[in-house]
Amino acid sequence: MKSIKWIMPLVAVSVMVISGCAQVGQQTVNPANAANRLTTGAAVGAGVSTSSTLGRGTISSFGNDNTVGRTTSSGLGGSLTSRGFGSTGAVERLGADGVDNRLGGDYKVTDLNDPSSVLSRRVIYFAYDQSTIEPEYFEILDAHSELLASNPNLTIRLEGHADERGSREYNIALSERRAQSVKQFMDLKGVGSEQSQTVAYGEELAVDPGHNETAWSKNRRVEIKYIGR
Amino acid sequence: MKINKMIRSFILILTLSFAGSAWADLELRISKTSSRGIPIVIAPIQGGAHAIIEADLNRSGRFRIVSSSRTTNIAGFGSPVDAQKLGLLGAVFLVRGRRTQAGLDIEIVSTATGKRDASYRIGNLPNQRRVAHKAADKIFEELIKIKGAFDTRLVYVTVTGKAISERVYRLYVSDADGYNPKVILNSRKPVMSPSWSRDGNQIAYVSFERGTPAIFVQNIFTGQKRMVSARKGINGAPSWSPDGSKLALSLSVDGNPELYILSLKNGVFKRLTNSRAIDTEPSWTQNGQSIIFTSDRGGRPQLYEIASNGGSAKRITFDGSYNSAADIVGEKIAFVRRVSGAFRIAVKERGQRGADILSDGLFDESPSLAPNATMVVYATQNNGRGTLSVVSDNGYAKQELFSPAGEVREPAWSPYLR
Repeated sequence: MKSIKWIMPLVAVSVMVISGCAQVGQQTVNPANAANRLTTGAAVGAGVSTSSTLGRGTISSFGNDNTVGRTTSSGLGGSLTSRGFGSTGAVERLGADGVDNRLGGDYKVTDLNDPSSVLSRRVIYFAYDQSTIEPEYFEILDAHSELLASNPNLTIRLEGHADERGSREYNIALSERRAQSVKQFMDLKGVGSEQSQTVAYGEELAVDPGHNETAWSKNRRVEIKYIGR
Repeated sequence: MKINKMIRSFILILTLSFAGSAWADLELRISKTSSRGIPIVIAPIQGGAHAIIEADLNRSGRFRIVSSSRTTNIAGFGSPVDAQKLGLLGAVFLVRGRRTQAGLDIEIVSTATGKRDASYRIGNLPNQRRVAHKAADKIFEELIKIKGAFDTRLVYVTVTGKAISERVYRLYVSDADGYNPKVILNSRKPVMSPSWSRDGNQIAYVSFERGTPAIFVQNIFTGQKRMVSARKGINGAPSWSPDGSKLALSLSVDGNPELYILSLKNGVFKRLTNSRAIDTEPSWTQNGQSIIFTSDRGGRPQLYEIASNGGSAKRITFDGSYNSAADIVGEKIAFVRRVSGAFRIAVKERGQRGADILSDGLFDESPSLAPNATMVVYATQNNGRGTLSVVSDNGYAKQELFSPAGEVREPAWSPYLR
C-alpha cells in the first residue's frame, strides 16, 4: 500500500484534468478488462476494473477530489449535503490537504464510532433504476473494505433499497442488485464473501416518504450495517 | 337525465362503522358513477339491502342506477304493478325485495312487460351485507350473463407510523367493498405481496419479521400460519396455483431472482426460469398451464409467459418501456404500465397487443382482477397517501377506499367465495 502512495498526487491531478463531469469513473473505464469482469452488472464491473487497473490510490483520489463527485452527480450532491453526514469534517480535511493519511489499511474497528471517520459514512446512493456504484462512493467503500479485510471476524449486512416508482416485487429485485453491487465491490477488495450478507427491502423502508426526486434520491440506497464486531 | 347528472357529480362518502377499532375502518368514496349501462331501479328494502345492491351494480360499470324514490307505491315484493307507473320509471328493470326470517327474497321485473323475469331467495348469513352482495350477484348474472363477483373479499396491507422504527404493518381481509375489515396479521416489519389460495381460505405473503424475507401461508379464519420458504436471498411474489397445491414465487438463492414452483405438499422447489435478469411477479393462468411474469431480460421490465412445467418464455408486452406486476383472470391481464413517466394500470386481452389504460394516477400499482374479471382493484396515491381504487374494466365506474389513519396498499381480490 505505502509503496504506491507517491503516485497519488499524480493520479489526482490527472483525474482532475480529465474530470469536469461525474462520469469520470465511467469514461476512464475499460469494460473489456477481462481480469476483473464481473458476471453481473457490467457497469459495476466497469467501475471496479478501473480501480483495479490503476490501483487503490486512484480510487482514493476520487474521494479526495470531492468536488467532482459532489457537485456534478445527478442531483445527489444536494441531497448529500442536506443529509448532513457526520463525516463532513473528515471529508473536508481530506479535500483540503489532498492526502489521506489513513491509507495503508490502518482503519481500526473503533473508528466505526468516530463521527469524523469516513467509516461513519455507511450509505451508498444510486441513480434511478441503476445498480452502478458512482465513483464518489469508492472512498467510503474502500475504507469499509479495508477494515473488513483486515478484520475477518467483522461481519456486515448490506441492505438494498429502491424508490417507490414501479412495482414492489420488481423493486425488491432491483434493490438486491444494488446490495450485490456493493458486495461484489467489497469482495474484489479482499473482503471475505462470508463477511457480508445482503437483504433486499425494495421500496418498503423508505427513509423519506415524499413523492419527488429529493425523496427518491434518498431512498435509492444501500446501507452498510455492522452486525458482528 | 337531470338525476343522472346529479348522480354523476354526487360524491358519496359512507363512513363505515365497525365495532372496536376506529382506525381500522376504510372509507368508501365513489368518485365516478356509471352514466352508461342498463338503467335499473332497486326499490327500497327494509334493512337497507337496496343501497348495498345499488352500490355493487354501480361499480360494475354495467348499470345506470335510477333513484329508488321513483318506486313509491310499486315497491312491494310480489305486489301487482301498474304498467303506466313502470313506464315512467326510466329504467329497463325494477328490482324488489323483502326480508324474511330465512333471508332475502329478490325479484327482477321487466318494465316493458310488467312481468317477473326472475326471482331468488338468498339464505341468511351472519354477515348481513353478504346477503345483499349475493343478491347483487344474482341480478348481475341474470342481466349481464357473467357470474357476479360482489360477494368476494379483499386482502390488503396497511402501514401506520412515520419513522421506520414506529411503523406497524397489518394484513387485512375485508369484504370486496371495503366493509368488515379484520386484521389477520400485525407486524413491526414489512409485510408484502398477499396472494389468495383458490379456495379463499388462505393467504400467502412475504414477511420480513425474521430480518430477512420469508414466505408464509396463513389461514384467514383460524390465524394458523406456517413458513414455507426462507431461502437465502429474496423470497418474494408468491402466487397460488389454481389447484391449490403449489406456489409460484421468486427466489434469488441461485444468485439472481428466478421463478420457482414450490410444492406445498412436500416442500420441494422446482426452478422454472433460467436467465441472468430479474424474473419475478408470477401469476397463474386459470387452467394452471401457464404463468405470466415480469422480467428485464430484454433490458427493461416486460411481461413474459412461460409454461408452468418449464420451457422457454415468450414476451407478451411490446408497447412501453415498463410493464410489470400482471394479474391474469380468464383471458384478461391487468398490469402496471409506465405511460409518459406515470405508472398506470392497464388491461389487455391475452394474445392481443393493444391495452386499455384504466387509471390516471402517477404511482398506480398492484392491480388485482375480480374473479369475473369485470373490475380491477389497485393501489394509488391520493394527496400523497396510499389508497385503493376499484375501477370497472370498461372504465365507466370508479371507487376509492382509503384509511384515515395511514397507508393502504397491495390489494388482492379473492376468488369466488364458497
